[in-house]
This record gives sequence, structure tokens and C-alpha cells, in this order.
Amino acid sequence: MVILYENNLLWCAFSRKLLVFHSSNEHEELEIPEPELPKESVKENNGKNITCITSSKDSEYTAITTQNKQLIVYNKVFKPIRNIKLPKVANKICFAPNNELLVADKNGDVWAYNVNIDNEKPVLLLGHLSIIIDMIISPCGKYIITCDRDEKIRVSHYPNSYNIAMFCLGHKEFVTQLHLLKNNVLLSASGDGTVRMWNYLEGKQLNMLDCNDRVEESILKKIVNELHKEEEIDISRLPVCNMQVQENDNNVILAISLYKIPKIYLYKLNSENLKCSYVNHIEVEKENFSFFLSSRLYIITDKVTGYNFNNNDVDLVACKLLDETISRYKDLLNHSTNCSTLFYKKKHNNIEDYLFRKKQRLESK
Amino acid sequence: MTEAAPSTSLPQKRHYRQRAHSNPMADHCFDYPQTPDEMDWFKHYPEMIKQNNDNNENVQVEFLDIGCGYGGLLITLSPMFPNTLILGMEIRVKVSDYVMDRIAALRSQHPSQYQNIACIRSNAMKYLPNFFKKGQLKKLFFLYPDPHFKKAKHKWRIINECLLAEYAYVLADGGIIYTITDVKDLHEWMADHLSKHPLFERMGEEELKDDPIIEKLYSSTEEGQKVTRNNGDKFLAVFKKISDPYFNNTS
Ligand SMILES: C[S@@+](CC[C@H](N)C(=O)[O-])C[C@H]1O[C@@H](n2cnc3c(N)ncnc32)[C@H](O)[C@@H]1O
Repeated sequence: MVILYENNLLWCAFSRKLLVFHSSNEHEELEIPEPELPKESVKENNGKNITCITSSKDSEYTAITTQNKQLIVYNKVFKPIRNIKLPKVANKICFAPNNELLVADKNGDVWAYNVNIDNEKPVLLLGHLSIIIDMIISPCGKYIITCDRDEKIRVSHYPNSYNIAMFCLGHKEFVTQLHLLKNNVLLSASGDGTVRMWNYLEGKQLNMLDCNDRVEESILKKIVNELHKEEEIDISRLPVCNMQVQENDNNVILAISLYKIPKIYLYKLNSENLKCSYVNHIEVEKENFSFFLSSRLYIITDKVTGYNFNNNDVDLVACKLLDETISRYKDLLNHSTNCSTLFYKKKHNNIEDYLFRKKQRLESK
Repeated sequence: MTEAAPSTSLPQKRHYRQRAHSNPMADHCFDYPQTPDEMDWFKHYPEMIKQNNDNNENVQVEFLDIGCGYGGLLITLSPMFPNTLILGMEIRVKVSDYVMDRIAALRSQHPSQYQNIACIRSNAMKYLPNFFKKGQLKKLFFLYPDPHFKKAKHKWRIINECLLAEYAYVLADGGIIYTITDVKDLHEWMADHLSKHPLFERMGEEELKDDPIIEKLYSSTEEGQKVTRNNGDKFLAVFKKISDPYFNNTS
């Protein structure tokens, strides 16, 4: 399930359904056109689910991508105006302030599409050596920030993205999510279980939140052991799967979920001194869920529950219309996250082996 | 990674041979610093760094030989630039270990020489920003890089459109990229990609004629010597990093 809350519109995409909710809670379902070259797509049996969604800041355009490599752009009144076939599956999309659409593909390349012109060839902006997991563009429109499976956050100039402004290095695993605060501090969530705060133009880490602090030792151990047994992955911290951010004045609320933990942890972040304090957590009834944060927190399993914040308390609030609508589609809901175990590296160590044999050779002289 | 007591005799290459190609995309196990500030260079250049600390100076690596192979260029450059720290980066375990042993042996045979060169095993396609700060390097060398002839393997080529952005990032303005190869197709590929990149400008003969490094590029390295023995061609292309024309035009 992909959720987007932007310009007072809530977009929910799951399977091949796209719903948009207005602030009045009324909703409509958008048409998703089939690919224009149906012959080609017959071969692809990966499914046709929606993978990404994004809106332009001026709410002129909304775009989605699908597993069968479609890029569909909608106008303000929710009519599809472009149906483009992408060369590679998209992993993340976003609009630049000039309404150029940026598409990060599975190979780690970022392409720029001009959605105003039909059949215009995309331009290659930049490339990572590994898959790009998240991508954002600064509000000033001068920087694209991308993060990848190789622990890196790259800050590139835009549109002259061949020019790298900075790298923000420090994460010890793949970087799953990026968010820019209003004061231009960059937040990044990672497979290493931390959220870090950056001055991204200087590549300087300003603070760090260890989100595993709240996880009980026994539960952590159990999940770590399972991963080791089932996937041969060795980790000591649980990755951050989803980080949602809501800003009002100096207070920022972070809602964070961790791999395999059916809980959402809430933190308060002071955007001035960047100190974080734990507020509360919410237990989720199901292991698979999606959530998003607006002025409220909504959790979606096969139904929707809403919460209000009141200082450090969280109270249930009614969200009947949303719940009724979403529940109707419960067989189609699929909850995915940014944190796939595939992002871990299988480390094969060939050095120790070699050095051991070399030692034997030298000793036998 | 070398043994505690370095041998004083030069290492023999036959103990260090390895398959020619190592997949730069695979997840090898590398030791790399999280950030350039965390890198312990003292281990690699103990004498130079000690001296400089005594004089309160700050030295850092300025020349980088990418895919240095058996290290011939490092050894040639060492006496030519005695005050510059020069690093070779090599992905293959045995080959990089050979270079480390070779430098250790040279240092013990010639006290006070070869202190400014070192070799690290790493994947230059992935980890340059972990080792070097923005604009830190003055010269980058790509001597006889692996040609990866097949089209499907072109993305393994050490010079490509996207990686050039990273090389530009670690190079200072005015910094130089030297490339040489015996494979005409690869030469054209490298020269073409570098020419198209807005942050690089090709250097002409006139500009290069006083550069003492140029003549050394042809046969300092093992690969260069092999090409000479086989009477192969050698194609040179040298580029300079320039400031971003995008900003020059708008300001
Ligand atoms: C054909 S050899 C040339 C070696 C040396 N420059 C010479 O002229 O003799 C290319 C070298 O680049 C190394 N290499 C290839 N990809 C690399 C990478 N991503 N990082 C570091 N070294 C790499 C190879 O292991 C090989 O030793």
C-alpha cells in the first residue's frame, strides 16, 4: 500500500486501485489506463500493482508508477493525461518545483521526464551503483537528495546533477527514508536502526536517534535469530521501516515503525536543538500494517484506526468514513515497506582465507 | 593487512597471481571508514605523518592510482613527488597484498624512501567518498583499466557517465584525470564520456608538455610494460576538472 498526504488530499494506492480522499472525507476512485502497448506487457507476469505515488507541490499533477513499468500522470481534476512506458521499474518518484518528474529506477539511475510534452525522451540526471530507496528534492529546488542500499546519502545539485554537492555518510546500513524539515535539517532513517539529522550541505551529522532503544532485548534477540536462520543475515539492530514526520512550530512528531515489530513509536523532536524525546507507542493488532501521519495518526490494517495527540497522550478518534471505504477493499490491501531484507549484503569474506594460507606459505619456508 | 614483521626481500609475483577480473558490483567484504575523518592514515604513511605532525602540518593523500595493479606507477612517482602522499587502490586481494608487501620491502631496503606511497584494497567504484573529502585529490590515474569488452559488462567499466560525478567530487578544481589504454575502443569510450561531462575539459599537448608525469604513464606499470613487449598501441587522454559551467552562466 502506498499512501500520500499532500495539499490536503489523501491518496491511497493498493493493488491496482487508486483512491483520493478530500478533506471532506468524500473520495473518488481514479481510472488507471492499461499500457498503450499491450503486447509487450503480456510477457511480464510481475503483476501490475501500483508502486509509487507523488504529487507536485502546486497540486497540478499527481503521478503513479506500476510494477509493469507504467508511469501515469493525472491532472488537477484527476484525469490521466500521460501514460508512459518506463524502461525500468521505478523505485521512487518525485516532482521538482518546475514540475519536471524525477524517476529513480531499480538500477540506481534517476531520469527526468517532462510531463508537459508527449513522447519526450527522459534525461539521465544521476546514477548510484546500487538501488535508490528514497529521493527528495529540496523546497528551494536546488538539490536532489538520494539514498541507497550502500549506506550513502548523496546531495546533488539540480538540474546540474552531474555535480555532487555533498555526501552525508555515517549510516551503517541501507538508508530507507529521507525527510526535510522546514528549517532545512535533513532526517534519514536506516537499516541500522537509527534516524540521523544532518546539515546536508556540509555533510555534517547533527544528532542521532537510536530507535531500537525501546525494543525489549528478548524480542530483538528472537527477530535477529530468525533472520539469521532463515536468510543468513546477521544484524544486531532492527531496521527502521517507516518514518512519518509531522511539523508544527518548533515541535516535530516522528512516528516510527521497526522491522517485524507491530508497534508505532512516537517521538518529539525539537527542531531547534534537535533533541529527541520518546512520547509513547501504539500497539498494532496485526503484523502487517501501513500508517501515515497528518495532524492525526492513521493506522491501516484491514481497517483504519485514527489517533489524536494531546501533549504526551494519544487518544483514539473516530474516522468512520475512511474506515468504511478502506474496509470495503480489504482483500486488496497489501502492506509493504521500504525495508526489504534484500537490502542486506551477503558478506563473503575472502581476505581471511587468503591471509591464512599466506601465513602457512611463509612459515613453511 | 601485511604481517607484523615485514620481510625485507621483495615479494615474488608468482605467489600473488589472481584471476584477471573481479566483479566491482558484488558485495565483497571491504574495510572502509564510515567517513574520511575516521580514516587512520598513520598506519599507511607512518613516517610522513609523524614528520608532519611534528611540524604541525596537515598532509593528506593527493594522488590516487585507481586499479593500481602491481603498483609500478606508485614506485615511479614516489621519488618524483617526495612530499606528496600517493595512494594506490586495488580491488583484488592478492594483488593489493603484493603491492603492500612490495612497499614494505622497499621501505626497509631503502630507509627514508618510499614513505609517501601506500596501497589499500578497496572498490574505487563504491567507496571513494568514504576515503576522501570533497575536492581533496589533485590527480587521479586510470592506467590500462579493465576493458570489459561485452556490451552487457560496460557498466563495470571504471569510467562511466555516473561515476564521473564521483571522481569530480573527490577532485579539486584544476585536478587532473590521466587515462591510458591499449584498447582503442575503451580509449574512445573514456575520452568521449569525459568530454561530454560538464566538469571536465580535455588538456591539449601544449598544456601537457611540461608535465613530467606524462612520459611515465606509458611504461611505469606492469600492464604498460606488457603492452610494450607485445608492440601494442597506447592511447592517452588527459582531462582537467573545471568549475561548474552551470553556475558560471547563471551568475
Ligand atoms: C588491467 S589492470 C591494470 C593495472 C595497473 N594500473 C597497470 O597499469 O598495470 C586493472 C586493475 O584494476 C583493478 N580494478 C578493477 N576494478 C576496480 C575497482 N572497482 N576498484 C579498484 N580496483 C579495480 C583490477 O583488479 C586490476 O588490477
